Amino acid sequence: MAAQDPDPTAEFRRNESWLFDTTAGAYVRKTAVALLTLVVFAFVLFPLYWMVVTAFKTTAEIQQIPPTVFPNDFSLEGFRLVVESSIQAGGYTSLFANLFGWQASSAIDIDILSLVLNSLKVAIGAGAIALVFGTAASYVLSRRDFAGKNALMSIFLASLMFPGTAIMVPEWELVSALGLFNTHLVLIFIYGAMTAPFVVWLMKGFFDDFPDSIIEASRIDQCSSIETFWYVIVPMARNSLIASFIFAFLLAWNELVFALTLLDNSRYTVPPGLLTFVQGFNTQWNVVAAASIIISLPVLLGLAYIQRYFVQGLTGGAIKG
Amino acid sequence: MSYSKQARGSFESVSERIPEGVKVYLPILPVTALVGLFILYPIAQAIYSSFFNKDLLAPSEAEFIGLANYAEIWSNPTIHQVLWNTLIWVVVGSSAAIVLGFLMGWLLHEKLPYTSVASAIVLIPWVLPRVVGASIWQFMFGGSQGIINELLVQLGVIDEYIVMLGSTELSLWPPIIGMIWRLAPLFALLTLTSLQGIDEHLYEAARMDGATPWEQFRFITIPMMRYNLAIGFLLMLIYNIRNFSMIWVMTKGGPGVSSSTLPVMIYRTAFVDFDVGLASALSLILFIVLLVFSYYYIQVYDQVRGDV
Amino acid sequence: MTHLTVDGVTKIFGDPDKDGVVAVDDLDIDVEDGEFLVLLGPSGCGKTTTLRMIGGLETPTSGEIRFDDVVVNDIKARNRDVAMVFQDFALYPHMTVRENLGFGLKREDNGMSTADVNERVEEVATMLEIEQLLNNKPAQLSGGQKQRVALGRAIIREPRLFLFDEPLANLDAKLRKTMRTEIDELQSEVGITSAYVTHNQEEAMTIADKIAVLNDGALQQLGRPEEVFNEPANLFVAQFVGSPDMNIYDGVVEEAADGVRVELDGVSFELPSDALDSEVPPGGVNVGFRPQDFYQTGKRRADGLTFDVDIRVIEPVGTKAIVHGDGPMGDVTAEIGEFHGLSAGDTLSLSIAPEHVYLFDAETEALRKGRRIENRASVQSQSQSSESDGVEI
Repeated sequence: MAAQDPDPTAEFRRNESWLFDTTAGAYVRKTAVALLTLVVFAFVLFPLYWMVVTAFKTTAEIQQIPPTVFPNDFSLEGFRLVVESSIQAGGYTSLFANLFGWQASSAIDIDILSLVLNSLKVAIGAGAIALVFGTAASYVLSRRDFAGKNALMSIFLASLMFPGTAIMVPEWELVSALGLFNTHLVLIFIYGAMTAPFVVWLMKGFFDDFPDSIIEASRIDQCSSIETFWYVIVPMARNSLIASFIFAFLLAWNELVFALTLLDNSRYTVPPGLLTFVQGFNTQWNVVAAASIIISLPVLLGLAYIQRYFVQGLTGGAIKG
Repeated sequence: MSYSKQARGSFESVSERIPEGVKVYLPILPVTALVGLFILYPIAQAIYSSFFNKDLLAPSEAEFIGLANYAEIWSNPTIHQVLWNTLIWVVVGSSAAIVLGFLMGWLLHEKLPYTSVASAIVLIPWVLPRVVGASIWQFMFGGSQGIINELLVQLGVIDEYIVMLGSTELSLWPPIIGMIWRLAPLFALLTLTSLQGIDEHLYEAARMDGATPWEQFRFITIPMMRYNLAIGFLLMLIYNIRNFSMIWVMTKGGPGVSSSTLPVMIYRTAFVDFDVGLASALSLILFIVLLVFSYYYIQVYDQVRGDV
Repeated sequence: MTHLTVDGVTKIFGDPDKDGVVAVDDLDIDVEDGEFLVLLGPSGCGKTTTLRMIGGLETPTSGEIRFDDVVVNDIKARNRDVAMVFQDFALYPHMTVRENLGFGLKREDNGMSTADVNERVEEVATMLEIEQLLNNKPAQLSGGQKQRVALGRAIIREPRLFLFDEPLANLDAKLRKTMRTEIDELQSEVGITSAYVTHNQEEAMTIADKIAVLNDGALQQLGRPEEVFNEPANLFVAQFVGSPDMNIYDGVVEEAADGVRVELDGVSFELPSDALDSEVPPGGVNVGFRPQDFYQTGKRRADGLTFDVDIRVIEPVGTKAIVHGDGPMGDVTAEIGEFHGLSAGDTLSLSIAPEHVYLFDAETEALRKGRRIENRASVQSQSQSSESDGVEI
C-alpha cells in the first residue's frame, strides 16, 4: 500500500538536506548552537563574574587554594578597605573619628577619591574640548566644500589610529618642551586631540543627514549662520552631542599610556593609580576587585546611554546602527 | 527662541570683517591645531629623534648618529624577538577575536533573546577600564591562587599549579587571551550591527529562490557584510598592534622580553632605559605599520560610502 | 501550473490563548490553474500575511494551504518552488543583474550548467528588455528597471506560483500603469497561477481574474472584478471598490404596489419588482449610489430617483467632471459628462436608474440589491456564498 501511495509532498522534498530539513538535523544544529553559546559566553562573562565574586570575599578566603567559585560568606571587607584607605590618604582620619567615632585604619594606601577627582577633571575637560571644537568643525565640513576637505577628513580618520603607544615618546618630549609635564591641562589637550576627530566624524554624519529645509526656514526667520547653528541645530543635535561627550569622557577615563608617562604619581588619574595599587597590593585581590568595580561604574553607566552610537563612533560612521 | 538683538549685532559685525574664503576655515582651525600639535607633530618629532643618541633625562646632550638606531634594530636579536612576538600577537589575537566575535554577534542576532540587553552586557569587556580588565586576567592567571590553574588541574591538562605569567615560554599567551576577551565583544557588536542592517526581504527572496540556511549565509550574509567585516578586521589589527595596557599590567613584558610587543618595548626603551633615540626609531616602525592599516581603513571606508 | 487552495487558514501572531493578534481569520480561497488572484484590502487587513503563508514565509496557525491538493503547510519556502516579487524589490545589492536573475536557477536541482543558466538569463532579459543592464548592480538601476529585474527573477524559474507583494507601490503613477499592463500580459503569456497583494482597488480591478477582498483578516468577498463592483457582498466592499467613493445614505424600505418604496431624507423613490433580484424586506437600509451612475435629468430616461443638487465644487477630469454638492439627503458626489457652463453655486438636477441603486441591510450591512448587469445566473451563487463569510464582522 505504502509503495503505491507515495508521499504526495515528495516532489517538494527533492531539494531537502539532512542538516536543515530533518528532525535529527535540527537536533544536531540546536545542540551545536547551544554548546557554542555556552562556551563563548562563559569566556566573556566569567572574568566579570570573577571580579564581582572576588570583591565580596574576605581576605582570608582570597588566599585559599584552590579558590572558591562561590564566596563562603559575603563580605564587604574589600569595599571597606578601599573607603578607609581613601579617608586615610585624604587626611580625613581625625575628621571621621570625631564625627562618627570611627577609627579608619588601613594598611592599604589607595586614595580612590583623589584619583577619581583627577580623572573627572581630565575627562570632563577633554570631553568639553572635543565636543566644542569637533562640532564646530564638523558643521563646516558637512555644509561647505573647499580645497583639501577630503584630505583633512582622511587625516582625522587616520589620526584616530595612532594615539597612545605609537607617539608616547615624542609626546613626552613635546610636553617637556612646552613645560607642561605633570599637569592635568596637557592631558586634557591630548585627550581632546584624540577624541575630537571622533566627534568630527560622528557629528558630520549627523549634519549630512540634517534637512536643508530647516536651515532655510531659520534663514527666513533672519538667523545668521551662527545663530542658526546655536539656536536651531544644536538643540536638535542634543542626543548626538551627549553621545560625543560621553565617548570622549570614557576614553579619557580609561587611558593609561599618557597618564602613566606624563604625570607623577601625586597627580595620577584612575588608570595609572589603579595600576600602581594593583602592583603594590596584589595579594589583596578583594580590595583590588572592589576598587575596580567602583571605578568601572561610571563607564558602565555611560555605556548604557551611548550603546547605539557606539558603532558609529568607532567606525567613523561607516557602519550605522 | 530667546536671543537678544544685541548679541546678533556683534556676531554680524565681527563676521562681516572676515573675508568669506577665510571664514570657512575658522571653525576647523581649533581641531586641526589640536590634532596637528598633539598627534601629527609628535610623529615628525619621532622621525627627527630617531637619528640621535638621546637620553631621556639629558635631552640637550643629544648626539646625531645617523641611522645607527635603525642599524641597532636590524641587528639586535632582542628586538627581533619583540617583533616576532608582535607578529604572533597580532595574527593570533586578531584572528581569534574575529572568529569569536563573529560567532557572538551571530548568536546574539539569530539565536538569543533580549538582543539589546545581551549585547550591552557582552560589550562590558571592551568598555571596562583597560587596567581593570587586565588586572582581572592577571588575577585569574595567577600562579598561586589563580582560577585558571585550578581549572586546568581539574581538566587534567596539568598536574599541579604552574607559573604562567613568569614563564619565558608561556608568558606571551595570557595577555593575548585577555586581549581576545577585550576585543571579541567589539567585533561582536560590529557583526551584530551589520547583521541588523541587512534587509529581511533579501533572506525571504533567497528562501523563495531555494537557498538553504547555509546558502543564505554564504550568498547573502557574508557578501552584504564584506565592508563591515573588512573595517572590523582592520580595527582588530590596529587595536592589537598598539595595545600596551594588557601586557604591561599582566607581565610588564617580561620575563626578559618574552611577552613584550613593540609598544611595550618602546615604553621600556624610553622610560626604563632612557634611550629616546632607539625608542623613537621603534615608534617609527609602529607608526608605519599603523599608517598602512589606516590607509586600507580609509580605502574601505570610502568604498562603503561609494557603494551603498 | 498549480491549483492553489487556502482552506480555513487562520494566522495568529503572539500567543493565541492570551493577547495574540488575529491577522487572518478562517480564510477560504480557491485559485484555479493559471488564474490571477488579487488580495485586496486596506493596510493591516491580513492580505500580505496571507500571501506570505502561501509562499511559506509564515506558517498558518490553523487550516491548510494546498498546491494541487497536496498540503504544503510544512514545506519550507525554499522547497515550495514559488517566486515572489517584493514591494521593495529585494534585489541582492551585491550581485549584478545577471547574478540576481541566475541565483534561483543555480539553487535548483535542475541539472543546468552555467552556460544553460546564462542562456536562460539572457532569454528572460531580452523578454523584459533589460539585456543591456545585465552587468549592472541594482544601485545603478532606475525604479522601473529594478521592477523588471524583480519580475525576471520570478519568471526565470518557471515556478508553480507567482506571488506579488504590492510590487508597484514604490513606482510613480505613470510607471505603475505601464508595469501593471506588463505584469498582466506576462502572466497571461506564461500562464502561471498568481497571487497579487494590493490596497489599490483600481489596480485590482484591471489586473485580476479574481479578487479576494479582505478586512480585519476576514474574507469579505471572492469574485470576478465586475462581480465585486456590481454585487458587492456588503457595505465595506462597496465602499472600498470604486472611485470616487460610493454615496451612502440611511433609508427605510416600505412595501409598494409593485416592488418597494425607498424613503431617504427629503426624497423617496420606487424600485419596481423587475429591478429586484430577490425580495427586499421592509426595514432600515443603507442606500448606495455610485457617482458614475448619476446622469443629468432629461439626458436619458425619465424613471428612477430625481433630485436637485447645489454644486459646491467641480473637479474637471478631462472629458468628465466630479461634482460635489448638497442634495436633499446629504452630501452628493457625482461624475457627469457635460459640465461646461456649470459652476459652483448652480443647481443641478440628477437622476439615477432603479437598476443602478444598491441596497444594504442597515444592521448586517449585507447586500440586499446590487447593480443590475446582464448575466446574473453565475453571479448569484457566488455573491451569496461570500455574503455568509463576510457579514459576521
